Amino acid sequence: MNRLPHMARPKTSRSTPLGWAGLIALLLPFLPTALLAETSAPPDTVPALGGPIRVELRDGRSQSGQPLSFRDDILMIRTFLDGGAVDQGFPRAHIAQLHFPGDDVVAHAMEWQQAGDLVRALPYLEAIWRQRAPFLQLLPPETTDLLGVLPAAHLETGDPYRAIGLARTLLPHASGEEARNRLHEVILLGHYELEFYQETEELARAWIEGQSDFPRSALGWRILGDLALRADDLAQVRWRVLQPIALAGPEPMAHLAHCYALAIHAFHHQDGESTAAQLHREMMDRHLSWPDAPALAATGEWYETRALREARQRAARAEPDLDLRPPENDLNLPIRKVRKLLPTHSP
Amino acid sequence: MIRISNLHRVVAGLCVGLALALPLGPGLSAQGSARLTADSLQSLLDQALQAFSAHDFATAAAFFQQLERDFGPEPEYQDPGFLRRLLPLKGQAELAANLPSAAVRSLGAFVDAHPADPQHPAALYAFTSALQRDGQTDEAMRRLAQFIGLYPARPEAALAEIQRAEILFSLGRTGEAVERLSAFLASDAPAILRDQARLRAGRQLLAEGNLAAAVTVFLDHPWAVRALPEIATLSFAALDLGDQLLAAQEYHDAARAYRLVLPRSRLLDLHRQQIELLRASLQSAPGGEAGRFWRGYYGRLLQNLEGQTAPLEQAEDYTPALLLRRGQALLLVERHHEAWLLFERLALDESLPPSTREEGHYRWILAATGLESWEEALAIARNFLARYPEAPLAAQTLHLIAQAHQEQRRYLEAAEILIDLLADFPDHPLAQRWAFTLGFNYALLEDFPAARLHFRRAATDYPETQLTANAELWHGLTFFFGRDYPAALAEFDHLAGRYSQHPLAGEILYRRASTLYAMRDYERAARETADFVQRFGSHQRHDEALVLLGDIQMGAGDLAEAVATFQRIQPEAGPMFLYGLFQQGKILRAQQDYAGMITLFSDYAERTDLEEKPRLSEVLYWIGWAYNQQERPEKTVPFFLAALKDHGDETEAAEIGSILQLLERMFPLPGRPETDFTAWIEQERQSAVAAGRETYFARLSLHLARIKRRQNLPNQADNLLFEIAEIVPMEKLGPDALGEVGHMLAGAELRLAEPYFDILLKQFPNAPERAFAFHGLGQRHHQQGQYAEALVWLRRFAHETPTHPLTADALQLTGQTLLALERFAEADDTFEEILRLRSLRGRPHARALIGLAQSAAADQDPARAIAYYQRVYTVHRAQNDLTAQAYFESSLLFEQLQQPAAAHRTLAEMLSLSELASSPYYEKARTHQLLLAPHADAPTQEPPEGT
Repeated sequence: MNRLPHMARPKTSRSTPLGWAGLIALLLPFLPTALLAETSAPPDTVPALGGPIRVELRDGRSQSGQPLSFRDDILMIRTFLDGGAVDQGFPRAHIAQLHFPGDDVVAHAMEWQQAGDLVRALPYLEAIWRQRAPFLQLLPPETTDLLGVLPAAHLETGDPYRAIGLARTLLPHASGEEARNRLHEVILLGHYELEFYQETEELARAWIEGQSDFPRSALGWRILGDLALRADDLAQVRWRVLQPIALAGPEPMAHLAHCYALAIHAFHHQDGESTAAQLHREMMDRHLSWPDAPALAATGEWYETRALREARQRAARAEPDLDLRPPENDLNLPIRKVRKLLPTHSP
Repeated sequence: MIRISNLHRVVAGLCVGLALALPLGPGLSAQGSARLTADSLQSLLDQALQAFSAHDFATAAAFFQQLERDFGPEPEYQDPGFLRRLLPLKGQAELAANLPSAAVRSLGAFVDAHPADPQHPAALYAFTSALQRDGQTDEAMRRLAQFIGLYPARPEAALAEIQRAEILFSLGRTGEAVERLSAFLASDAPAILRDQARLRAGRQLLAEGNLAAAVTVFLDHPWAVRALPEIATLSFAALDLGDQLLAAQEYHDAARAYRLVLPRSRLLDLHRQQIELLRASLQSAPGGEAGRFWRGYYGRLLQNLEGQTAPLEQAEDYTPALLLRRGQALLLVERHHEAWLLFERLALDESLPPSTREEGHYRWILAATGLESWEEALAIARNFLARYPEAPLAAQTLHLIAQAHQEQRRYLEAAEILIDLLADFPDHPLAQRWAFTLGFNYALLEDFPAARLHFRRAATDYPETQLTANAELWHGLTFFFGRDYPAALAEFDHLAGRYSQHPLAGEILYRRASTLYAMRDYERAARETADFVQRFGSHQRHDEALVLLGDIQMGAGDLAEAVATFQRIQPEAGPMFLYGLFQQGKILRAQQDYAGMITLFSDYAERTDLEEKPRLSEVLYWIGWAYNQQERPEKTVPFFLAALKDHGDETEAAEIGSILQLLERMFPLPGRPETDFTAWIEQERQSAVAAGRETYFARLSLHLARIKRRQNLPNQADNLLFEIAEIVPMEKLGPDALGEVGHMLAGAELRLAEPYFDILLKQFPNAPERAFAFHGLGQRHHQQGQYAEALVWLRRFAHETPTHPLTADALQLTGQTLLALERFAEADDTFEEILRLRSLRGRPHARALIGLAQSAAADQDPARAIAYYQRVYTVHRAQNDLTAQAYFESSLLFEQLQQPAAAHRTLAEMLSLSELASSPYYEKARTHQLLLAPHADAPTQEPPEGT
């Protein structure tokens, strides 16, 4: 968080859609401390969220009832009166906000999400999803953003199919570029984990095309690098993963460490040890950790234990002897054949 | 030139300063004193306080001073209680009104008189600022120290630390200031203040040109970029740092510095975010004393950042220039891939100005050149010329194209471009370099006179530069390469005197020593080499010179000296060290010092200080061999078996074949159950295939094939080689298998041979087995009628592997190729060369004679041709196939000379020899003899046989 000293916490609010951060602040003291401390504990059992919702209308009135459907831009709820039931419809244009029960579940979900423990966040997120998925178009950005974490949580718990499906469902409702990017990343990683390599390659290239000139994540290049490594094409590994490295500035960039590791591995195995050592020093300089990737582990150990070589000896250069090998062919390549850069989108 | 606007200077001037927080004092009223009754005093005081509250400090200060002037002597004014409340306000108003001397008096009087007053901290802090502005730096330093000592927990204490450093900077005591700031950076002061201090220290060091310290401050610790308010200041300082480092040739650090600069779009985003954050912080800052400090601090910071916004938004985008610089730094630290990617982006981004694209495109060529991707460099360079034909960099680009051609060994194309360049741009600053490179290309084409012409021009037609000496040296070297050693020596003698203090002096002396060696003047060569070794201990040729000296001493029989010389070569010398090691082994072997051999090679095998130990399989072989010479097979066998197990499957391992050969001789092996070597090797082959040890399998098969060949079972031998080709991927074959399998395939006129030779030359460019590739590729071209190409490979054979067992075949093929090219004189020379070589007596001689005969026949000299054929069937009767050929061809030539009887008699003699019956010429001779039968009794007029 970019927060300066003495910044006030956001104001608290009792309503669900708005002011969740404040709600967390309120609830935080009541959460069991063990819950916060033990991230390796099994996920909690979360009761299904049900019950009536409150529909807040633009004219200031409110109406509560059991949600039935949202179809043709009309939200239907059922209200029980005097032993009978009345179904009421609200056009989308008249609805200011929906208020769902389950603030505590939302609070737990956010807490685990902010703690980076998506495994623990998953059951809470799932409960929220089941409750609100039919009304996605009516949910405020805070809710869709929170639900946007759900695909990543499924990916982390080893269910890439569900992760991809959810991400695709949520994509049209993502509130901004960052949220959309996050969902695209899940789709990409999901395909990679499912070993749909051809689709992964296409998605990665599309993902790269959607990035700005100075991207915040290196995921697409990292995936392409991984794929090239699988194909044992170390030259391609280098060209692919060096692109984000060449552009990386002082800001953190997701997946950059993996790109460095791939580049170092490729140089190491292609007679480029000095470049590999340079990149490794730079990686350490940037406080990036070696990724947990079995294919790269040996290279990581090599560079971590290897004493860095001394500066190159600047001895006087000798004159070369004659090279009497026969000439090579002149292939006269067109410029498109020599391009290495995977083009990004220039905003 | 890369140009960046001077925006950073504008921004630097807007950086946050260290203004004072101005707290409003607690209620001050003249009514507090019964004696202070004059309306004018109260009125002045009220006006002063009112102005103070309205932050109109100039007016407030004026009223406070008037109050002092008008009522100073009055007892009411002098009342300690009144002064205790008045003086801090008066001092702060004076300070804010830029009246530092007055403020020093007011605040000084208060802080010393009321150390326990609640206003004391704020007043003391303000006092330090007043002192500093009044130029009383020593006292300011003392009071700042006092403040830090008295109030270490107050937020102003952190600012006081920075302020102390500021004073030290202003006094030029940068070292002390940086030291203080470094201590401050390690403290637990708020991060925002630590970052500010770090930025301040870095900029000061940069301004003073203290690059090493600036690098430490800016680059040795990460910046929390997204939390840093003064992000623009950091970016522009880092850009400045990068430029200075680039100029100072500190390329690694320059690249690091440029990495710290944000591109403009991102900088603007973060800058705006920081302003929003500061506004939020300002609104939410807590009340009270501490809150007042932070409100003041954030307020000033916000004001500064807001002041930066307009210049940042209006300034030209520096990002392309940043990328150019960053790419340049990467280029200079040989990170060509990343440089390529940056330059490619700039070169092909149509939204950028043409000058930037042009610059990027040119550097893109440099990156490709740095990667030695010559074909791609050519493509990029040609594209550059197509886009920017009139660019000032066109000439340099053409030079790069010539360089790419040169690296691809297309020397003629390179020379043509260089000739054009010299003609079109004779006064270009690089003209001398072009002339030199032109000479170099001619040297590589072995056109030494043309090379000398251009080296001479490079040396004499231009002002003397570093290249002049190189040009002169190369002028001499062309004589050396052309084997005109006396001329080369004369040049080197001259150059040694002229350039005795030049960086090339060592190279010149080494070349002179080599020339003397080539001239077989070993005594002087040894002297010169020893002199070089002594004088140029760190020269790149040093180890090579030790090898040369050792070889000379070895040749002269000074074996002890030679060993001592070889021992001086250190492992860092790589191949030279190993050469020296094996030369020592050779000496010990010649001296039959087998124990010495074992010690020598065991020491190497057991070394623990080497990261890699190449040629270990050879070392193990020689240890085993030495034990065998000592008749200790029980020691030999374990070494050999270990070598086979550990290195048999390594493609680079040598002497595996020799080990198998010696094991074959030693069979049955002591302590082993196997009795038959062939059965053992067959068993090993099966195990190797099962274990996926394909290289080892190929070696075993190769050895078995040699055995079969010795047993006169050539088909079985070829089958084994085919089996290798079938089972083992080419890249898993060692040079021996690549060579022999390729040779067999080429002999069978199979195109498949060529990739074997290609891999052999690529993977093992120095292996002796490359002779197979030279010969085989020559053979393949010859088979396809490409005689000129065939000759290129055969020349390489003669040049690089003249002692290979295929020499006779290669010479024979060379002769045949020259015949096909109708270069009869050269063909005859080649065949005569075979005849001169006693080592090639027997079949090679017979074949050479046939070659000479064919040459003479082709040259329309049948009599001479017959004479050569006659030598074949008289001297080389054991070569049945060649004898049959010689008889038959002679007969045809006699016919050509209109001597049918002699022709008939020759055939009759041939057909009388039953050992020739298997030759294909035998049947032809029988048929032809029938045609010549009518001439059988014709009178003989031909010269006696043997003429």
